[in-house]
Amino acid sequence: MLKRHPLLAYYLRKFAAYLFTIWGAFTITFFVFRMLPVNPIDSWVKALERQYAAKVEGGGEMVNYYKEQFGLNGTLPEQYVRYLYNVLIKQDLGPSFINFPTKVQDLIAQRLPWTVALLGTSVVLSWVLGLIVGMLAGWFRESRISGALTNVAISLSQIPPYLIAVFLVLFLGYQLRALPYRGAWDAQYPIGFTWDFIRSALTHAILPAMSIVLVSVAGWILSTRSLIITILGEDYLTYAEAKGLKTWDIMRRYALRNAMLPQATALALTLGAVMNGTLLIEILFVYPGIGELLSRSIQLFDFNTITGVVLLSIVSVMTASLLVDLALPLIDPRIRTSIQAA
Amino acid sequence: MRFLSSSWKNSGKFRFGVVTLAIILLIAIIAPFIYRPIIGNVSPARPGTFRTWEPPSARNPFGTDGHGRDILTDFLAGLQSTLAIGFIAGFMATSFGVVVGFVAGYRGGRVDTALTTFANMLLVIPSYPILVGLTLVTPQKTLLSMAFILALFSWPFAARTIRAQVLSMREQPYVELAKVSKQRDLAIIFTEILPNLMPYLLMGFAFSTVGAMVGEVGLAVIGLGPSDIITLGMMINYAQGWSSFTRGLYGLLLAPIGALILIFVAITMINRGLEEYLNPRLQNVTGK
Repeated sequence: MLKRHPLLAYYLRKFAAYLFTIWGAFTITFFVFRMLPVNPIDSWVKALERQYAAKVEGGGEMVNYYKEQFGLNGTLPEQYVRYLYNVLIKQDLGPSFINFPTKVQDLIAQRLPWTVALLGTSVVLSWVLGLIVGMLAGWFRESRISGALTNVAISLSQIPPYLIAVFLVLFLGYQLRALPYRGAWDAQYPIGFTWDFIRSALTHAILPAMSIVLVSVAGWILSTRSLIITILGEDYLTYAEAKGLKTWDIMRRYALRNAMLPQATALALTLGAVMNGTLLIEILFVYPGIGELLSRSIQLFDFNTITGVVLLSIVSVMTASLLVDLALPLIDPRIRTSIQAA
Repeated sequence: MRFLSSSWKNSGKFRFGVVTLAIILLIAIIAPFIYRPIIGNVSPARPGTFRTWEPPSARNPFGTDGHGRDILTDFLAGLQSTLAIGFIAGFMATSFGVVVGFVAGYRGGRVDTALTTFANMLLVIPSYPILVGLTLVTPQKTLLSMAFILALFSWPFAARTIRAQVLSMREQPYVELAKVSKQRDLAIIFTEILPNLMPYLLMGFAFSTVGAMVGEVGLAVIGLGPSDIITLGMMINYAQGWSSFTRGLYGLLLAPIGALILIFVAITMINRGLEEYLNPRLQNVTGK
């Protein structure tokens, strides 16, 4: 049956690879962290003892009790099987250590809106900007401005956003006191749909968003520019120009439209990776998102929280790439034919 | 090595990158001649050589930091160690990536599937948390151990590029000819494939080097630098923690950030030059 339905076979193969890669990546992370030579519960109880300068009553039992609570009792394979059982069957990521006894899934749910709002907006904003500027840079590629812009973009695209962020914090935040650079909103306003809260949240988002946008817009400009330059060499564009179509129409309907498919694909993949790689921005701006949660949980070796956040990141990256794989044959007939021919 | 001279001749970006990087490397090499007269014969990382928070003066052009060290010395020594960590980690990652990429691409079949799947798994794991975890438990954080940790997660990038190139080269007529004439696999790899891979190897090395330096700075800015040396990332960490701007010690922050940006831009420009050589479409010659 699969032989006669190559598209179905393609979908099944992609889905199997999706599940297998998630499982593998998760398993590697799980064992790497739990094999680290640290013992978070022991050190916590020892810290308690130091704090009260006395032996904690029943210290050994306490350690055992908490190990059980966090799923750290038994051998590593036992812990692994139990964790998988809890996640898959009971949909439970376990209690967190940094905020006991709040469940990891609840902690993530509190943090996720901030990260998604900040990063989602920055990514989409830089994509739109990059597409427009990149198209113009490709069209007017002989002009001086376009050349200078391309060189600036090449330089910016490889600079880590946190270097720019450190700069912005010190100049605009610290020296000029123009914009807030700590937290996500002024604590005096309760969270809700009030003008004060929304304005405060927006002003707090400007600096972190700017540091991300400045770098990623450069990448989009470069990729759009080279796509457009490739497309401009095609015959149908010469024809469109010979027909006397308006420049703006040629750009929008012929050039940009053909660059959209690869760029939309790349946008989907970038949105999937939103959890990964902005940790430092969130730490620097004390922004209450997923990255800041992850950094605090690593310092205390809070295995449940670390594993939960990393699992979320792996699943979202893989899901975005699966969706792209599944959608491409539907959108682009050329890909469909190549699958059917194979 | 024709690709080097061709890139040099045709690409202004490549020339800019090479010259900038050469100047930075030269500064790093002659660094001891600059900082020895200032600090004398002690380790640049040793605290308490001077009084803390001295403003810029003839002896300390950028002032001194919160541990009583000369900031110019911090910078020069930091430049040396950051470059060393980057290049060593880049070299380790590229070497390992090349071996894996070659085996996967040249052998094909099951070996290829297994290696590619494994590399893909590593690529979706967010590496930064693992780097932080590994660094936290490393008792002696030296230049070499930091470079090793940073290389652990960056080799799949190199492996993927090399594999793709080896796959396409395996089908080239000159490789098939060598196979028909019964040359040994190793001989084919070293005489037919490797020379044609050089530009890709160099690009992979440049990417992993930049990646390792970004990673090193990322770890150091949250206070996880090596213990016995100074790096540029650690200077940024000091500058943030010590509110160096209110004390007028701008060099503590601006020097490392400026140097890092220059290094990244130089390496990126070299890479663009190589890309233009490999893909002439990127040269500004077509169209209007």
